[in-house]
Amino acid sequence: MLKNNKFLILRGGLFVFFILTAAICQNFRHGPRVNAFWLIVLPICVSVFEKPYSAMFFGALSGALWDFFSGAADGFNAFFLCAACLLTSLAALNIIRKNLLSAVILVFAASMLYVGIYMAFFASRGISGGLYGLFKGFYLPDALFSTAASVPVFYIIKFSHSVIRPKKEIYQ
Amino acid sequence: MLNFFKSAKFKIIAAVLTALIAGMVFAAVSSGSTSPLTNAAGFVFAPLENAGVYIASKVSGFALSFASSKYYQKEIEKLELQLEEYREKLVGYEEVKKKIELYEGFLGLKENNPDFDFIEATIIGRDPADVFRSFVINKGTANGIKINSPIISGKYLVGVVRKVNLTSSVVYAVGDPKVKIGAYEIKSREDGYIEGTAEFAFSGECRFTELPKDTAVAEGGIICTSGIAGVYPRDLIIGTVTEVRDGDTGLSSYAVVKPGIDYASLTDVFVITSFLGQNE
Repeated sequence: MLKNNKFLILRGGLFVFFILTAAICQNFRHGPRVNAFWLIVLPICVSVFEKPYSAMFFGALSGALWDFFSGAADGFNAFFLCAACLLTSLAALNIIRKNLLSAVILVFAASMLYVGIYMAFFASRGISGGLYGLFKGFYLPDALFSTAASVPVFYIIKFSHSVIRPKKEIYQ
Repeated sequence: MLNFFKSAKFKIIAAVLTALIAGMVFAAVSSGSTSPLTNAAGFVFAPLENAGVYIASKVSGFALSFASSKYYQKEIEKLELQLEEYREKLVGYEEVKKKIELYEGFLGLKENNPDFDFIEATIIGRDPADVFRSFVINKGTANGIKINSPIISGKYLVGVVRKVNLTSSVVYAVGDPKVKIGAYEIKSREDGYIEGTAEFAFSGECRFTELPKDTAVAEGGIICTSGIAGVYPRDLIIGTVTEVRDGDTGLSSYAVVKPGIDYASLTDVFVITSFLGQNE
C-alpha cells in the first residue's frame, strides 16, 4: 500500500484545477483566427510525468469536459484523449525521455491526429468542398499554436512534479 | 518738567498726534474716504505687504510638501478606493444596460408575436474545434427545450438547438452547413434557403441560395425567415445581403448574407419553445 499519498492527492488536485482552467480558457478565442487546444496540450504534458492509469484519468476528464462544450463529438474527445494520454504515458515510461522536445512532439502529433479525425468525421458533415481551406486557415494554425503553447505548460507541469512529490514512497 | 514741554521731542510728538487727529476728523467729515495718513501709509507699506504675503505662501507650500506626505498618501489611498468603487459600479451599469437592451428587443418581439413562448438562456461554452461557431447554453429538457428550438437575440435569429441534455443544449449557428433555413428577402419577396459553406467559415457569412438568375435581390436587402416547414417562426431577421453572385451552374444566383449577430460577443439568448405554426 502506498504511504505518503497526500502528495499524490495534492498533485492530482492541482492538475484537475489546471484542467478546469484549460477548459475555461479554451472557450475564448485568443486571436482573430487562432486558438489553442488547451485540453490536448495539458493532459499530454501531464501524461509525460504520470503513470498510465493516472494519465488515462486525466485524459478522460479533459475529454469529458470538452465533450460537454462540443456540438459535434459526443464521447469522441473523452475517448481520444484517454487513448492519447495512455500512449503518451507508456511512451514516456519505456521509449522516450521526459523532456521538452518529447512533450512538444507528442502534443503536435496529438493535435494533428485530432484535427485529421475531427475533419474527416465531423467538420466535413454538410460541406461539399473547401476542406483544404478550412485545414489551412483554421485547424493547422490552431494545431501549431497548441504546439507552441506546450512549452510553458510543460515547464509548469514539470515544476509542479518536482515540488509536490513524496520524499519517500514506501510499499507494503 | 517745563523743559520737556519746550524740548524738540515734545514738539515732534505733538505734531504727529495733531496730524493723526486731523486725518481722523477729515475721514469722519468726508464720507467714504480714508485718512490721508492711512493712504500714505498704505502707499508706503503695500509693496512690503505684498512681499510678506508672497514669502508666507512660499514658506507654507514648502512646509506642506515636507510635512504632508502622509496626508497625500492617505488622499491617494482614499481616491484609489473611490476609483475602484466607481469602476465596479460602471461594470454593473454596463451589465444592466446590456440586459435592458436584450429585454427591450425581447419585449418588442413579444409585442409583435404574442404567440411566442420564450426562455432566457446563457451561453456557457463554445467548441474551439468548430469553425462554424456552435455553442452550448445552460438550458435543457428540464426547461422544456426540444431539438430544433430556434434561438434568437432580439429580433435576430442566432441558430437552432440540435442536441439537448437535461440541463444544457448545443446550438448550431446560422451559417453552419448542417443548418438550412427557409428565408425570403423583404423587398423583392423572393424565397430561398440560407445555408453555410466552408468558403464563408471564417467570415461567418452564409449563402441565400435558390435565387433566379435575374434576381431582384440586391446589396443591402434584408433576409428574414419565411416560416416554411414550421421550424422557425416567420419574419425573424437573419442578416443583410452584401453581394449577389452567379451560382455554380450559371443557371441561378445566390446572395452572400452577413448575419446581424456578432457571435463572438454574444452571451445571452432566448429560446423559442413554442409558437403558432410550429411543426406545421
